[in-house]
Amino acid sequence: MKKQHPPKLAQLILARMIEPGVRDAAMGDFEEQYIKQSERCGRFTADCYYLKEIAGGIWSRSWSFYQGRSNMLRNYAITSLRNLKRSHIYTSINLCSLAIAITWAILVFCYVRTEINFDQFHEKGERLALVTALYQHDGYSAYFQSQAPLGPAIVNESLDFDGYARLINEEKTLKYDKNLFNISILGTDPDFFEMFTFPLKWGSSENFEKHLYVMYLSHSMSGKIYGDENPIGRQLSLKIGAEFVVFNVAGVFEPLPGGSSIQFDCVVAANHFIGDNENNWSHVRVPLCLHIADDQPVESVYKHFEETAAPYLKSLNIGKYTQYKSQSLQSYHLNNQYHFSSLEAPSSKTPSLVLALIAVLVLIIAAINYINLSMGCTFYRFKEVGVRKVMGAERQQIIRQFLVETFLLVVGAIGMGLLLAQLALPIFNQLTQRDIISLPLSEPLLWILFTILILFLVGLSGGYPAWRLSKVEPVQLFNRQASFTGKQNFSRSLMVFQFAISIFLICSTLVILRQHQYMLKDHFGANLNQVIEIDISKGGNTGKTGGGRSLAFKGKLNQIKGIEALAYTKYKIAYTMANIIKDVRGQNSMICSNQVESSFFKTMDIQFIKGGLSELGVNERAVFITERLKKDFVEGDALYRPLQEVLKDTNFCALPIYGIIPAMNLQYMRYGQVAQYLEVTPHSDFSTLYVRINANQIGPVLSQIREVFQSIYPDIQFDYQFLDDIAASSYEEEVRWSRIVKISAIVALFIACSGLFGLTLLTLIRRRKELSVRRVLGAGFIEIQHVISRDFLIILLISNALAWPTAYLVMKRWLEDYSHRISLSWWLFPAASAIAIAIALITILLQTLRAIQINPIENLRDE
Amino acid sequence: MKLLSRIEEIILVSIWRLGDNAYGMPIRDEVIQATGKDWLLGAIYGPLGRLHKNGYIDPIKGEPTAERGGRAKVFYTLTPIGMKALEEIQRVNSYLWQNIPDFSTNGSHS
Repeated sequence: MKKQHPPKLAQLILARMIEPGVRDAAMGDFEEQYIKQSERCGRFTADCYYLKEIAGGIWSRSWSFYQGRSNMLRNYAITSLRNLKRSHIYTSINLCSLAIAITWAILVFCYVRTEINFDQFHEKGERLALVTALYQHDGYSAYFQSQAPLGPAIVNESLDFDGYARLINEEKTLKYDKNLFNISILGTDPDFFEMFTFPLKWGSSENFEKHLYVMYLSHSMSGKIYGDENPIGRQLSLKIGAEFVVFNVAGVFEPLPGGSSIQFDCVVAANHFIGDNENNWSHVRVPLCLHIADDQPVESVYKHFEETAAPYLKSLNIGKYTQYKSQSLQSYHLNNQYHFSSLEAPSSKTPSLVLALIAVLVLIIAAINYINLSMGCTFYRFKEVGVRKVMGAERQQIIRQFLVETFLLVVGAIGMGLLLAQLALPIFNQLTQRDIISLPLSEPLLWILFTILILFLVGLSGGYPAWRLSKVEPVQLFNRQASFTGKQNFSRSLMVFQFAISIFLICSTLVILRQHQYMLKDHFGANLNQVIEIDISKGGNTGKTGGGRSLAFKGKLNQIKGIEALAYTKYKIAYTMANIIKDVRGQNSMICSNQVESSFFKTMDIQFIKGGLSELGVNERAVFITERLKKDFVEGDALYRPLQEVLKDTNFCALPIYGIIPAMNLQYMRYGQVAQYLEVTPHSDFSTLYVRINANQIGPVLSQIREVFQSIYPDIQFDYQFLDDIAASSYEEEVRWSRIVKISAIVALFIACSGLFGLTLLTLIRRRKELSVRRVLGAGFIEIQHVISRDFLIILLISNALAWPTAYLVMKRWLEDYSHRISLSWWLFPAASAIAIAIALITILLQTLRAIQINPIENLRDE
Repeated sequence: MKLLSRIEEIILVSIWRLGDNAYGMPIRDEVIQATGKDWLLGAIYGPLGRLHKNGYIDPIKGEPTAERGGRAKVFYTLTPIGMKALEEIQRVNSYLWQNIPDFSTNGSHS
């Protein structure tokens, strides 16, 4: 066994405490004892014992051995505790604000850590290469995935790679007894088990290669169906195409580690999904991950991937303008080039950076609080420091006393912060959509950061007041009119900074909230909450030839009374087809299209800007374009001309344009309104049904629809979504961010105000004589409040001057990412300040109210 | 004579009993054996330092060993003053304890 040594830092501390004469020998003894202990009862006990030695050293009275340092430390600690207890209001304000700031910082640390560690748990790590095809032509670029045969072909012919896994993720219906589940299925290849680190709890991966109809369940899925039982050998049926196919359960995975891009409920062979496309080189929809052979240098393989893959491009009709690229799975989450349809949505570095920045700002506010309050508190400690100085205390000793006090407070705050963070973890997880299971207490970086934090806070918050106070001559300290009680410019400038940060965060919150509301409200048709979307694509036999079931479904629904209108569409309105053509300015732009039934306009409550359905005969086909398309692509009049001619591109259909409609899409508005046209057609291979329900009968009608659905489609689960939910979910990211910024603004304001609370209290006590005289002379509550808040108001006004320009610049930059954005109205800034000032004034008001209840005579009689 | 404190006494006797092997760790073990109480090493070094200062014991530097992180042991031996003090302790103790019945069997002394 390797010899264990005591922790380096502990050794250093202990050595510093021991008298130099015996230091070497004693340290040797300590180490010998440590080794003995760790052999006998394990490392932890030995560590504890070692720490006990240090604690014993601090608390012991052996002057000769411990250089007398121990007594000193002990006295400092006792005095500090007494001081902290005596000024318990300030202590608790400081402790709370610091603890909250630290809680926030710890949570942010957890978040950043999961982001960085995303997909890092795979042992093969950077040898896992995701393949994308980049199509670049004429200033337009797009990413595709790869073809089904590419993986096997490359592994066969190139020495660089020795394994492949196609990762096809689809929603499918799983049947167990009579229960139907909608689950996400990963279709993949046998190398999957070799390449990725997803260990099996039960079963072995061998069967995957041998048998076609086997499935591997995720831990949670197995738990959902079978509980704690071992399900190996059980049978489940999976709907593939129109049929249910029986699979044997061959294994169950261990729970997936948090932070994985690959998510699934169940794993089966890719063949089930690829089917006819197995040798199809023109179908570019298959996500592919390759394993770089262990004897190949990783970097050069990535670099030369283009050459390796080039031969396979010839067979591709887009080959001329396309390059294959590969990136490692590990870098996918933060540095994605392309969102793989079967992987979790990638993130970026921005959220981590923004969160870290906010955490640092909040910490700074808390640190400023401490400085301000301890500066204020020093007023009470003039006498103490004066007496100490007169008794011969050196400056160093007084500084040390202050440092020990701060140290104790900061350590206490860190302890509280850890506790709070643990409690707030579930809420934070919900907020950021991550699943952080526990605080990473074993992470050394966290403790290093804590140490830095302690040094920073102790240095800044304890150091400055200590230095200030110890500098003053003792005689001045006894004199109440010492210059120290005067202007306190330093405190004030810190407070300016503090409120500037708060106001900045409030401004940002207001802007983000408004932008978010603007996007959600202004660009969708009205009454989305009455329309539901029903996906029937899983029903199998859609299409005009066999579309019996979909027609029957529609026919039966038409008899239900509460339904106002319904229409089939070819694609879900959030996922339309896209084409790229040149617009009127000669730039490449995107046009989306969809095929709908003519009742679609009534269902979605779309009002025509020009033209309309009136001239359209039954079963006649026509095209309706959005305003945006008209504006961007059409010169002159568009109505009643064929689309082909209007767009000057023969790839489009020749149907005439019968009307112009307002912007209509549920796609991500971040990129602006998309030019779109709707082709009205009576027949198509429709996949989705939209139903507008009478607002008063939504509940009963829904259950009727469910009944009809189940009678016609007994093999699929009835699934519907309200359109406003779909709209909201496409803004999930924005909603989440506005919520996070809102919370941090509240935290910042709370901490700043708790600082203000403390400072007001101090001012009231310092000026109690003055205020009492004023009151005796007839000043009322309002005058007193005025006198007290005047100083603070000036501070708040100055901080506005700092916060407004910063907020303006930062928010302008933020809004630039949105093509549809609000303009930054001027009143947002005063509004933010008004919020801050109102809360600050209330804080002061509460204090003043309490102060004026004391009889002024009491204060004047004092001394 | 100058009286030693109780822990100093115990340590002095322990050093004599240990003979050639009297350094920090074994001394502590002896003290633990004698008192039945867990002693920190640091608590041994305090009295050791005082004994050295008052000239009862002499430190002798040993060879560095690997298991101690390359640090040398310091062995303690009794000086003539130490020996004399030890005799004194024995004399005082035996004088004090003579004619006292064995209370573990006899019950309380009346």
